[in-house]
Amino acid sequence: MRYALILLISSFFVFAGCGGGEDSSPNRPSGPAEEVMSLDKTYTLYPGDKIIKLTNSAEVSIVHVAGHDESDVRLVAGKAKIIRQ
Amino acid sequence: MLKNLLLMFSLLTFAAEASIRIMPLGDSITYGDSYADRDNPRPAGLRHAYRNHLWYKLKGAGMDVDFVGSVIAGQDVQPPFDPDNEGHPGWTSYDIAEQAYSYMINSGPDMVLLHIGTNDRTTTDPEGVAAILNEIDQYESDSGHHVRVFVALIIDRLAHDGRIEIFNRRLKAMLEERIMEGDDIVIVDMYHGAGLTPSDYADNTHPNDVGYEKMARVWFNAIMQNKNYNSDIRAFPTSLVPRENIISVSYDDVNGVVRFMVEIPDNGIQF
Repeated sequence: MRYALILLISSFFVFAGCGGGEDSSPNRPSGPAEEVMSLDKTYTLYPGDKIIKLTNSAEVSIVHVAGHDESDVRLVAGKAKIIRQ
Repeated sequence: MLKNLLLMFSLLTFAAEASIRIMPLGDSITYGDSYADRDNPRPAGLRHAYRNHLWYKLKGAGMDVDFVGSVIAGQDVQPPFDPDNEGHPGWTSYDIAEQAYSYMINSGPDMVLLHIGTNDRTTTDPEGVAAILNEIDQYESDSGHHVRVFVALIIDRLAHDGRIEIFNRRLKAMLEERIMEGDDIVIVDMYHGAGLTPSDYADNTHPNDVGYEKMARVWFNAIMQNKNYNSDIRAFPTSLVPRENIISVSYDDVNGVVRFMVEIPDNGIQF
């Protein structure tokens, strides 16, 4: 039984390791570290990216799909900039 | 050895398919108290309110559910059901709000069935319910665990209570506003939906067993119509910004898509 348990735990590490080297955001574009957003243009943001408002009030619409890293963001009011990771 | 491995893997698979944790939360109408219990109290093991009937219906529909809460009542009822709950006789919505966060921490429910406000005798303002929902939101934010809250427009008394009617109207308006802002709330119209008649009451406040079965039917239908949701997308907007910054939100649970509009907070939006 003890051997079974050891094998079970070991197999977990094996399975957990499968696919572990894959880039989680393979389509992430390289671009400027900072970018001022244009109204109504859609930007794709990834984990680590940040949006900062440049006016007292600024609004964005965000679309996110479950299981995806990225989100689509569109500036709808005010001014804002994206800081890429 | 291979047999042992397969057995252990199957147990792990079983553990991964966890039950839906449902917390019945409220006052005596959740616990199963009545005025008659003051003079001749029944043992807690026989108090069930709507909970046993709901349990039978959910199990009958093949749902794997686990009622959760720190209170145990109804454990001697036949057929047996899960007696765990958070029904607190005599409590107001404000009383529940003070404890709601710890209830969430201790039980980690996936769904909450909230029927509260009957004891809020001095007010028609649902701010106590709002405070409960705020505590649940805080728990979700702190824990990362999503909770779907089914909030009942509460049942009337046997002798029509105008305060409850006004309370429900204001409660519904408050809930609709919160839903618009992205709070995952299901409004359950127990006031009309249960269809209670005078013969369905044990006293002026509490249903009898027939009345509780009617309440269970309403809860059951609400759960069955709203049991499938994508917790990842439901939790996503508030993982980025505080709830007060969310202007509007819509969820497509089938395709796992959330669309929402936010006012950018002073400290920005960190993805």
